[in-house]
Amino acid sequence: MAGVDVRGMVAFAVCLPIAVVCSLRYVPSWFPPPAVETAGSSYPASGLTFSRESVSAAQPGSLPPQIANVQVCDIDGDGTTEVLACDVLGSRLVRFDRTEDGGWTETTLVDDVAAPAHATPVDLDGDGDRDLVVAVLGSIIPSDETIGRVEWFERVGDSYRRHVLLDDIRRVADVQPCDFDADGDIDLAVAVFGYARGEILWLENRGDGSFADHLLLPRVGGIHVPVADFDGDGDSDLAAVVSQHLEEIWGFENLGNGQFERRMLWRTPNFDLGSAGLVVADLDRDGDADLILPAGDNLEDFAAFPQPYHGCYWLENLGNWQFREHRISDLGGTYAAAVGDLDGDGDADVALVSLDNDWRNPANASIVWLENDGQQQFRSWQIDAEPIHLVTVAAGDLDGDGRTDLVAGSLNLRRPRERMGGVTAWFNRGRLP
Amino acid sequence: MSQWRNITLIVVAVEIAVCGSMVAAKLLRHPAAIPIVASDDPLAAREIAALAGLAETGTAADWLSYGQALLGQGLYGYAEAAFRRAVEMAPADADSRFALAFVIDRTGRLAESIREYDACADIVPAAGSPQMQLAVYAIGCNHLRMGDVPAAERAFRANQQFPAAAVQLAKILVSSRRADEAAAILASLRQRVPLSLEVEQLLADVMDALGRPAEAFEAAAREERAESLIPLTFSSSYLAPLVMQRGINGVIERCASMDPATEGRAILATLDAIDGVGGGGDVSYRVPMTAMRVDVALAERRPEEALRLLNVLRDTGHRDGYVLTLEADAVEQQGDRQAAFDLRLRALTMTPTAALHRQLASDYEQRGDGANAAAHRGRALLLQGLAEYRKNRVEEALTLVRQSLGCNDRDAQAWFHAGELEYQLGRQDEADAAFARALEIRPGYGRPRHFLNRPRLER
Repeated sequence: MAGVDVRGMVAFAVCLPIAVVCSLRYVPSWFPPPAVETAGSSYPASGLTFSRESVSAAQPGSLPPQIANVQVCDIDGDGTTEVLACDVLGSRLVRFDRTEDGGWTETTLVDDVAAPAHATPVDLDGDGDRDLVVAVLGSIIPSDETIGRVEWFERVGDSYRRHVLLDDIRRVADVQPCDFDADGDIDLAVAVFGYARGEILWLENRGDGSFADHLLLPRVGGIHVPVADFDGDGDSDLAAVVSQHLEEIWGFENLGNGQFERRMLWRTPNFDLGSAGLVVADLDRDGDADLILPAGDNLEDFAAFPQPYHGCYWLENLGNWQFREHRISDLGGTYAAAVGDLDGDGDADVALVSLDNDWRNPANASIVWLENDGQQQFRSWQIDAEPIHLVTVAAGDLDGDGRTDLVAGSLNLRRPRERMGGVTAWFNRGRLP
Repeated sequence: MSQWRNITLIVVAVEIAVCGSMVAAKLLRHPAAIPIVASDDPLAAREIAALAGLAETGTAADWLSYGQALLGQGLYGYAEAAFRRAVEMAPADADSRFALAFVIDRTGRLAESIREYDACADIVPAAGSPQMQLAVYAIGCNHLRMGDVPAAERAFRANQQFPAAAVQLAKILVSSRRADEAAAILASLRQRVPLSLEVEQLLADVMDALGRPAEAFEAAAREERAESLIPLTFSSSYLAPLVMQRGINGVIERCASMDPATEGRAILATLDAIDGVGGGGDVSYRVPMTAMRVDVALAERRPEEALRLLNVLRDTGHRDGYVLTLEADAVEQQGDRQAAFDLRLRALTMTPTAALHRQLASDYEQRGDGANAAAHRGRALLLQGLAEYRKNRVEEALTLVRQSLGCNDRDAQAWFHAGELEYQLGRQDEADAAFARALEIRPGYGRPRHFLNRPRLER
């Protein structure tokens, strides 16, 4: 018996360490794994129904699309609306037409444009057709080099002829046409975003195909330069949002004869707000031009996270160049806004898209609409949670049914590399019965 | 026999004790939060898994390393859990405290991150050390982000030795109509950080606010030759080493710094190794890796291989001036100079670099087109000159710009920049003559007009 005990104990002594070492990796911890913080914003599902349709999708094996801007506009002046997109990855301007069978055709309008940020169809030379004026960044990657341009693609028959209107400048983020000096031709307002240095300019059309550049404000980080008659005196003024070291909105009052007086309209001490654009709309329908400020850019971070101050701000025009701030959304990573009467009740609603919500949570919103109750109280409704990384949105009737649809573009620069899109449309199907 | 039994009993008892303690250690370990999809980078994923294993049974330093690896992959929530464990194990470790404060900061919990930065500043051994300055600076920034300007001002005021804090303080003072005090702070800062972009930009605003337009103009003009930047946000500089520390990004960056002409084989071997672990499967890595293979193929004069790789690159949807330039070099190596020339002209519309202008000057020379050759040579020299200017090498820049004008004296931009450089050297008359020449060539040119109309200082 004693012999058996010894043999058993020897066997046990041999097997025990082997068994323990082999099974050690399967021993669970007494403690639960630590909680992992997630954040971001999601909202109740929209009472309006929208059906998503991919206009131009991410292709397997290709780099994810980088769409800097989309617009719903009449590119060729034929009375129908198309989608105009700035394709950074493909260095081109693209037109999308809705076909009768409900599909889309894609046409490259112009090739070899280095990181186009914004394009506007306009008859710049007054010859009766629509040209394209393009803000050229030169590079989507931050750079302080003088690689930006303002380019005019003159419509010649069925093609476009390139003219460089302005170069030897830093990255250009926006160009807007308008006859500022009331001499009958189209001038241009220009936002040179740059990186460490930048400026806001206007280009005076000299009538001979050349443009004279006039400095309005030496400020880095100009994103958009919307044009409107902000003071109601009958001429066109302009506004500019600058967002790099400072977060400011400036107004430039048109004094006539090509003279402007600049005024700071709004600023925040929060240098990290991340202003991402500026949209003009009369949100309260009181007859003047208000400003809509989407805020949520944090492209300076390698991997971004929504911040508590992200969202959308309505700057109500009170007259006499005074604006009152209202925060109307807290969507994390808000990057662009479009205004339209989405629910057909006669007031102006707002659509917003997000570049950097917390995408680890697949329920977080990538596109929302803010329902205006007519008294400018807004309620957020989620339209969709994908595709993600949206940086641009436009509103318009894409299918001719009288309802305001939405189209958005994705700038897929960062992780996660899933649920990615290119150009995506949401067709407004009205309220659920 | 009983002696053997006793020995065996002792051995078994020792084994039970050792194995029991091993099992207990496992049971009592703090598990790492491991992301299900750690990364789309297989190299980084492998390293993260190994670091998680080390951390679970290791020290606070191991948890810090694990958290930093996660942070480098943008996994903030997981990194926070790791940093919290590091702080629990070593509450007096400033690096872990700072990392925890940072991750809470960047995930938008501002008040909580202020408390963590405070804790970090309390334990940093030397007052005025860089880490303490950075922590106190972050506190000020977070007060600004919360809209509490007085608290931010207090934090920046207490931390004025840190240049970014002094800049933020000056910004607050300018926006609250205390330009005089801001001017004094900027004057002191200019002694410590000469020709900094942020200081000159702010100084222009300050002088404007003080009704001194000539000095405002001078400060704004100095921006162009600013040599240094004072980073006002530090998240990129804090994260960049962590992003590059692990995984494919770091390997690609190391390859990019190698010379394809002399180290081509080593570059290809490294890229093959990445492919071997599946790293080239992700298109976002495949593009820079393919571009590097093209560089090596061109350096080794294998144009067919370069063109094959460029097709791979094009299939990813990637089109830009750089790709066109590579294609031009490849077809030229095959002997098709016309195609190379056409491709370079296309590339020029997107990326008008000095190197491309030099190449086009050479192409035009071979075609016997002296005027275009001179114009492109002039452009190349102008761009080189401007690069010198932006490093504050004004004399060298002016020499190059004058050489550019020697090639093409009808270039209004070259005349403008010659004037700008003369202005920076204090030669006002020469500057104005150059600006006037630029305007003569291009009457609508705004920048020389802006300089000619500048407010002048009584000297």
